[in-house]
Amino acid sequence: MMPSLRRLLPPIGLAAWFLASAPLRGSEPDLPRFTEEREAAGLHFVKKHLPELLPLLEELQRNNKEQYQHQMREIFRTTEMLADLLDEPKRHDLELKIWKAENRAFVAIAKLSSAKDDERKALEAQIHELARELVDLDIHSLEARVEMIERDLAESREEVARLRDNLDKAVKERYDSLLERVKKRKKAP
Amino acid sequence: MNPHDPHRRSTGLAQKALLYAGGELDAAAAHAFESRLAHDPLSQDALIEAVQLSQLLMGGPLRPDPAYRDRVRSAVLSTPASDERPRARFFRRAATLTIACGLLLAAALALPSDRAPRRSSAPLVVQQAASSSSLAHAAPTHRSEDNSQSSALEDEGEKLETALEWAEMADCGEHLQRTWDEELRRKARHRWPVSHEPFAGEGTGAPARGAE
Repeated sequence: MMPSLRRLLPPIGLAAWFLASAPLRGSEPDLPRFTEEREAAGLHFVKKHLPELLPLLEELQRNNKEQYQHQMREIFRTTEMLADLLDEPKRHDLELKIWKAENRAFVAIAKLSSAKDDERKALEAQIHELARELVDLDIHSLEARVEMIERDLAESREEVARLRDNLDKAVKERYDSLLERVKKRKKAP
Repeated sequence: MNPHDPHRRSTGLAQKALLYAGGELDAAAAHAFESRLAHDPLSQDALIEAVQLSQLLMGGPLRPDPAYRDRVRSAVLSTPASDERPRARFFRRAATLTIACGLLLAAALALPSDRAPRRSSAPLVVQQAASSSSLAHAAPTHRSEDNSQSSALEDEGEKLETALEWAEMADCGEHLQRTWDEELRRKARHRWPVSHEPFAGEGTGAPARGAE
């Protein structure tokens, strides 16, 4: 019994370690897998847009590989999302600015906990300035959203008007498309 | 199953450290692991984690404190209670000895040594162990002799703490996520407007990303 108890300790420890790390693995199903290519892309993005993050990432890479890889995956996902917004340059630029300002604020907040009194005041001033910038960007973002919704609304109204003006033609087109579907069904094996 | 996979390697190391901490390695393997401990920071981290896990399993605190140290000392040095069963006594002794060895090892790694060169970036757990009150009481002369090195360690710890705090906050890019979702829905709506069906020949292509 005694040796078996001793033998049980390592496997129980391993199981505890596995379970302890499970929440982090399970909580990021949407994140892309970490690869060297994605890491390079993420680092390039950070270097180009927010180089002050590089020392923090280096620190994580040295001392906390798991968190480093998680952050690189997050950053890579950010680059992908921003790339998807390129069709709307205004929104893309705003989102990039928001990401930069948010991360500057996060860095300042993170530094605040270990800052000395004189540094603390400068950091608080910086955070206040960034808060102002973020509110300003929020306003611009909402304006861009309103503009986009208005544009979409105008397009939908035009579409309604076009359908009403060409009711018979629209009915004919729809009828043809329905018949086309039947034909496709018959052709299919 | 790539043998060079770093995750797999670290799992193997963690397993070896747990076995070592539990006294399950044979003499040769234990000697090899100890040789590796002398120069390999990853092994040192793995052993510290293994010891901490053992503490977690025992329900004890992660950081040593004077009271805990006293408990360990009394458990190791005092005679067992008369009603304690020998097996339980042996198990308790083995566990406490393992924990004590782990703590001493952590302290040895954190404190300056003539034999081993200091690492530029000591892991946080080592720094925490070194700065904890029990170990500070145990070696006051070391601390007074080497204030500059301990402040350098503190700086390293602060850097890592800052990085970790930033990382925790940077996880939530909600604004971008919301905008991206909105744009995705909008693109899908434009691709298949209400008056046209996707099968009519005009709405071609697969659904946009995210709708997969």
